[in-house]
This record gives sequence, structure tokens and C-alpha cells, in this order.
Amino acid sequence: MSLRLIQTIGRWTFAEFFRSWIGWISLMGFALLNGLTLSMMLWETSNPLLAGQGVELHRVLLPKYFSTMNLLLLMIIPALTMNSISGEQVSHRLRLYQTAPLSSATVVLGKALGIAYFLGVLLLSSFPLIGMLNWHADLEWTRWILGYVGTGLAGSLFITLGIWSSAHSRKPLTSWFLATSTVLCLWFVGAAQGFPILEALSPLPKVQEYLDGWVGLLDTFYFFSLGAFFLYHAQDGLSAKRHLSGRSWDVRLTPTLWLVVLLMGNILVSRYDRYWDHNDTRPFLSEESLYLLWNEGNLLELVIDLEESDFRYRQITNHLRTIELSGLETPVTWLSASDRPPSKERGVTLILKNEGQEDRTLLLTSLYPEDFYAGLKQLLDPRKKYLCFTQNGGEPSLFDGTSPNGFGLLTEELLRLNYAIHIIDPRKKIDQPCDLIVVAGRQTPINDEWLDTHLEARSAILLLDPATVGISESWLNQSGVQTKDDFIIEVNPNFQVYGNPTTLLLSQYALRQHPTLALANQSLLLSEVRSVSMIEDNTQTLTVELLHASPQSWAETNYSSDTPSPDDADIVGNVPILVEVSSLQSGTPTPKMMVMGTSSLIQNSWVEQNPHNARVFIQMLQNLLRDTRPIPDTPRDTKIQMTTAEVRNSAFFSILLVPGLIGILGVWRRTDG
Amino acid sequence: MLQIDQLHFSIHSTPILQTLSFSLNAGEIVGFVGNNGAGKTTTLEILSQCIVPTSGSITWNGKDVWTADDYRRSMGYVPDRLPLYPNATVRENLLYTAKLRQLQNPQLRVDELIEEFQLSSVSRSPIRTLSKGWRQWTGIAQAWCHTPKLLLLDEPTSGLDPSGRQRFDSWLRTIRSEGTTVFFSSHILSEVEAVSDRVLWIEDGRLIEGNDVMWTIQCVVELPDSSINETLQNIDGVTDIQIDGTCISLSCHPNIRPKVAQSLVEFGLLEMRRIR
Repeated sequence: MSLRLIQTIGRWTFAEFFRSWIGWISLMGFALLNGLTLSMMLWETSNPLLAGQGVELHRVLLPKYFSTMNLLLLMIIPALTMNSISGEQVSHRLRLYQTAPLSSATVVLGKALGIAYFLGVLLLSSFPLIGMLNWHADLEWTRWILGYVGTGLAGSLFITLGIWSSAHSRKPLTSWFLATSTVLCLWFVGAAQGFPILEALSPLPKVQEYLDGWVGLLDTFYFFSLGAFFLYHAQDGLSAKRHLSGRSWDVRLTPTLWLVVLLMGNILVSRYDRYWDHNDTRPFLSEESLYLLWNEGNLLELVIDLEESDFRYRQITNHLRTIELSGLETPVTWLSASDRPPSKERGVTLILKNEGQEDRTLLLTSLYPEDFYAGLKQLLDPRKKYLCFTQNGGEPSLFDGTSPNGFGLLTEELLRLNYAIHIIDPRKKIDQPCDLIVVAGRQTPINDEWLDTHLEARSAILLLDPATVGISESWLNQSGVQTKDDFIIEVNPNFQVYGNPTTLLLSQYALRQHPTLALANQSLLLSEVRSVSMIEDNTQTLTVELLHASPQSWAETNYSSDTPSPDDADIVGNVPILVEVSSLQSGTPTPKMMVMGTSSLIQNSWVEQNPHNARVFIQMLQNLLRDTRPIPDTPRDTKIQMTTAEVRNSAFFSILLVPGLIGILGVWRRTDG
Repeated sequence: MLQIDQLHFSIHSTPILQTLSFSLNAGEIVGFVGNNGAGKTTTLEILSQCIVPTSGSITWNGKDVWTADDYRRSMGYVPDRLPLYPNATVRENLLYTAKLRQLQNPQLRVDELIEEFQLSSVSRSPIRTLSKGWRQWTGIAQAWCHTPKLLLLDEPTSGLDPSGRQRFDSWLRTIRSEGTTVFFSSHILSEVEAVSDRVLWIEDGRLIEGNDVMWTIQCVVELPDSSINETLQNIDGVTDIQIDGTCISLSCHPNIRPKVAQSLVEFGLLEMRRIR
């Protein structure tokens, strides 16, 4: 196998793309779609919803941009690779390679290299867009380079898979179908949570780590080992093309054995997986760990028994630096060689001090972030708060992260913050521990007695959809809350989103001063909201209206009318949306219940557009649970916000100028040739 | 030089070639004739290593061709469908082949080939724009790129005009004189016989051979002469010579036919066909 020959075949394969229109059309199409997706993302940054906030560049926009680029490659590459072997066979040019003094491996590697060159050109065509982003916001160079590395590795994997399918197909169309379906399967099985084998096989989680700015040993090993497997099997397929009369089963089984070896290799490497983080100031410990430490850090002590030569020494110093940067003062003891008991295994011992009780200890021998978190959780888990959700008769939309009405995105956030979640059915007895009940958009009626019984012992959040019939009006009135079958109409365009008067944008102005709830510079986005007001003459409780729409708004009861307008039956101006009910039994007001006129606060579609919705919900939880833990904020990120004119200019640049220039270059080269 | 023994090839238990055995010696031109579907192309594909035979052996200078390092370096192949890239020019195709063959100075060699095969007028034209004849010459130049010791040609003259065929015959004789072995197939008997040292006949995947096989052949010449009879009688194995004006009939072994054809060239051989 000669490198020079591989290069020769590679250069030829690359040049072949541009000898016909295929290369130019693919390149222009890629640039156009890439520009289109980026423009759509940038258009979001000019969304009035994000007034003063902008979109997080490195955490949101860049990974989303590269993810879309990966999806484009996933569709394009099988079309580029389908001719690599089977196309040569159909056009009888395979004989050129079969009769030359070349090995099958040389041909396969040469073909892969040529298509990889083309992939490089495709990625190169997106450079001007990255330059444009850098023009508008300060891009971290490591992040976009890692984005390209991840995308390049994923693209290369798709190439090897495409060549593999081409080598095993007789017709290019079969090859395209096989490659596309395999790549799609591999890609999307990565989204299947809870199936570790499927996740291990998929490039999706690996690419995401690159896009998040991490370089993992396992991720890199995965790309190289799976790519090598496909190439090995491809050269085997190319050799098999000489065997028109078929090959024996033992030869066909060899790749299967290799696949088993490959999977075992991946499992082995995962045991010793290490990460390289490009940014030293980024917390190495996960946010989940920090949250646990914030809560219990004063009761926790770390005893470190590691030598400098130990690789875990670097890990623990990294963790300690993160803890220090987070403003925590967790006591740390370093054991010297003389302190160390002779037979004890080395590592870090976590000691949880319990007043009046025996200390609980746990020795951590693996200090990778996830292991550190698992250790903290094991020690501190009994202290977590339990949330009991009920919505449409206990349907599991709480774990649905994809449909617009699901609550999956909120659930992820809650689990990340170490809350335990149960789904309860009000028709049955609650067996699980339960600190707080959340009734979200429930349509099946809940019995008043059930509510009385269970809310006596714990607090609750009620999120009411306009269509909700789950909680009786009389029970709400008795609790000091009044709801009506109405829709809030917001006529002030400054507080609407997308020009829709039933989609409300609420900022700090709309929130009454409160010890727990705060919006700071953030906004809330709510859709189809009903009014929730307080009944002042209730002496059992203290009721406070916390959030309201603008003075120009009103709550329309006759909402089926073609020309809705405020009338006597409607609440007009500053329509209340959120009410807090506090018990006065202990003398001082104790928050017992919060009622909001919409469950859109925590629906996926709105949380995705405005993560602060979920944050406000967590603040509501903490208010009722009297939980004073700070909500950990994600690391600070550069934000990008563009004016409508800037978005228009960038769209012109990325949709018209870059693809147009490629097209002109293509026409010039083709006609010149 | 090249020894083929008991070559057998079948697809899904349908035999295509059966117990094929023959040898090719250095510096000879061997024609390979048979009807459509007789197995000519399959034999050439196996000899060029595009197909692995079901059984049998092929040795090159005493070594198995599948393990002999130098076999592919010493062999050139012009298949029936040429392995040319249609969007690339003649020069680019030849240069790519020269590089794949790892020649020392590929550019220089391509210049030589273009001159040798008179391709300079089309050297910068994409293959897709060329006539069949030009493509055929490019394919032959491609196979000749590394000056192989063994040249395998499958229907090499298809697409060539009469003058092109003459030029091709003359080129074959030149490379034979330089020591190259040529093995080429055709279904046009006279074309093969005019240039070959010997001819192998294949029918239904088997070679027709044996000294007892005699064919009756009828030839038509343009310039009949009284010396024709003497010329033919001087060829060993030719019997039953009958001359009727420009029409000559005779009996001979199939392997003798090339010699008969070559001896009749000076009398203006127009046609030669087997009667029975």
C-alpha cells in the first residue's frame, strides 16, 4: 500500500467531482442550505421576545448551526459516495484498478481520501459564514474549530460508511439507499435515551460533545475505530467483486467478528475515557455536582489521598478549582504518605457530617465528572425534594421532550437540579414521598376532598389551561382564587410576540416585588393565558396577585366573537395571571399554593424558545418548598443579537452571495474547461 | 511464459469455462476466436485478474499469478468496455493510468503515447466527445502505457475503420518483434488470422483442439496466380487444394489457418471462411 498511490486516487476522485456539474451543484446546494439555516437562526436573534437578551453564541447558536450542518452532510455524503465503487463497476472502470498493481485497500483509501477532500471543500464553503458570525460577535476560536473537527469526523465516518455500502452494492442507487438508511439509523438511535448500546453505536452524542467544546478519548476512538471498520469491510467488498461465483461463509463472517471486536474496544476505552477541555476557566465539574455542593457543601469534607504522579491528581485539582470558582468553601484535607493507612486504596473520600449522628463516608476511586456526581448523589440523595405531577389523567407527557405540549425539557432541568419526580393519579392513593404537588393543564376533574386532604400536608402549584376543567371553581374560590373562562388579549405590540395578541411577553415590569420570584433582565413568554385573580374577603388565607399583563390588556370572556372588545364581563387592564396563596395559620404568611392561568409556562415549545420560563417555574417551586438554594446559572456565554437590517444583510451574504459566487465560479470553470 | 491449466469457471453452478488449458509464449501473437457467448471475454477477464476462476491454475513464469508480484506490472488489458473517465481528457486519462502504474516520469510517457498512437489532435478533448475509434485508440494506449510484456485485448479492432485496422495490425507486429506477447480475441476470423502466429478456438467454454480435426476452408483472392498452388502445398498440413479462378478451397487443421491466411496475403486475400 503506497501513500503516493492513495494520494493519486484521492486527487483524481476529488477532481472528478468538478469535471461534471455534480461537484458544483453539491457545493452550491450545501452552501445555500447552510446559509439558509444560519439565516433562520440569526433571524431568531432579532426576535422581539429576546429584547435585550440575545442568543447564547457558544452554547446555543453554534452547536445548533453545526448540528444542522451535520444533518446536511448526512444527506449529501451518501449521494457523493454511491458512485465510488459500485459506480465504477457499472461503468466498467473498476477494471482499471483491478488490473493495476494496486491493493483493494489502496483503492478504498484513495477513494475515501478524494471524497474527504470534497468534504473539506464543503466545510470550507461555510467559513465565510463563521467569519460573518465573528464579525457580529466575539467567537471563541476553539469552539468553532472543535465544531469543524466534530463535523469533519462525523462527515468522514459517513464517507467510510458510504464507501462501504458502495463496495457491497452492485448499483449506485442501492448503495445510496443502503448508506442513507444506515447513517440515519446510526444517527437517530443516539437520541434514544436509556439504551446505552444504541448510544454507544451512534455518532450523535459524540458529535455533540465536540460541539459543546469537549474532546473525549472515547469519542475520538469511536470515530477512528468505526471508520476503520467500514474501510476494512469496504476493501473486503471490493475484493469480493472479483468473485462473481460467490464467496464462502467464513469470509463473509469476518467483518461481523471485527464488529464485535470494535464494540468491545469501545467498551474498553469507555472505562478509561478522558476529556480534554479547551477552556481552563470552564467548570470541570458538572452543574449537577455544583448544585449538590451548594446545598450541602458546608456539611461535606474532602479527604484527598493522591500523589502528583497519579492522573487523578490533575482531575481533583480541576474539581477543587471549580468548587473555588463557584464561591464554595468545602473543607479539604490532603493526606501525606505518612498519614495514609498502608492497605487503603487511593482516591478521594467524601465525608458528610451529620450533627448528632455518625458521619457518612464514601471513597471515590474514579474522579471523572460523572463519577464524582454519582458519589455526591449517593451521599446526598436522601435530602432531595420530591415533586408529584399530575396532568391529563397521569399521561407521561412529563417525559416527552419532543412534542410542543410535552414537559420533557422542564423535566430534564428538574432532574439536573436533583429533584425527584413522580407522576400521580388523583383517583388513587399517593404512595410515593411528595413534598409538592403540581397540577399542570389537567382536564380530568380532581375531587375537592382529594385536594383538601393532600394540600393540607404540602404545598402546590396549579397551572391552569384555558380549557381546564380539572379543578372546580368553587374549590378555587374557597382558596381565595378566582378563575374565569376567558383569554387574555394583549393589544400593546410591545408585549406581544409574533404579532399575536394571545401570546404574551412579560418582563420585570409585570411582576410584583417578591422575595423569591425575580425576572431580572429576562422575559417570560406565555401563550393562551386565562385570568387568575384573588378574592380579597377571604380571611383564612393571604392572597397576592404577582404577575399581570399590560394596562392595555383585557380578559375576553366572549372569545369566540369575531370582533372581541372589552366589556363589563371582562377584566380590563393589568389582567392578573399569577396568584400566590399563603396560609396564616402559623401567624406569619406561609406560601401554600401558586396558581397561574396557563400551563404554557412549562411546555416544550415555549421553554425551548425561552429557557427562562423553566427558571421561573423553578423559582415558584423553591418559593413553595422554602428552598433557599441558589439556582445554578449556566456558564456565561457571549450573546449575539442582531437588528432586522443586520439579519437582512447576513441573509443576503449567506443565501445569495456565497452560493452565488460558488455558482459563478462553477459556470466559469466549466465553460472555460 | 503464461501457462493456463484446467481453468474452470461457473456462476451459480452454470459452467462458463470448462477445463481450459493452453500456454502463451514470449513474443507471439495468439488469436482467440469463438462465437458470441463462447467464453472469450470471461477468459480474458480471468487472465487480467478481474475475475477469480472457480478452479484451475494460471502461472506466470512458473509462479501463480495471484501471488506473483510482477504479473500485474507485466500485463496490460484492453477490455471490451474501456475503463476511461468520460469527463476527463485523453491526456488526463493516460496520465492517471501512468500514475497508477507508478511510472518514473508519467508526463513524458504520456507524451510518447500520444505521439505513438497519433492522439495529439484529441489529447485535450474529453473522452465523451470522441468517436468510438479514437476512444479505442485511447484504450489501447492506456493498456500499453507501462509497456507490458503480455498484452490482453478483447475485440480491440471494434470501432476502428479499415485504415485503423491496418495500423493496428502493423503496430501488433512491431510490438511482437520487440518481444511482447499478445493474446487477443475477436469473432472475425480473417482479422485474427491475418496477424496471429496461431489461433485458439473456443466453443461453449472449451478449446477446440486435436490433430485429427480438419476444417474445409474457402478463400477468395484478388490476384490469382499459378504459384498459389505451390505456395499452399509448401505449408505442412494443407490438403485437398482446389483452385477455381479466384476461389480456393482446401482442408487443414484450425491451427494452420493463420499460416494459410498469411501466405495468401500477397495474392490479395479478400475473404476466408470455414465451410465445414
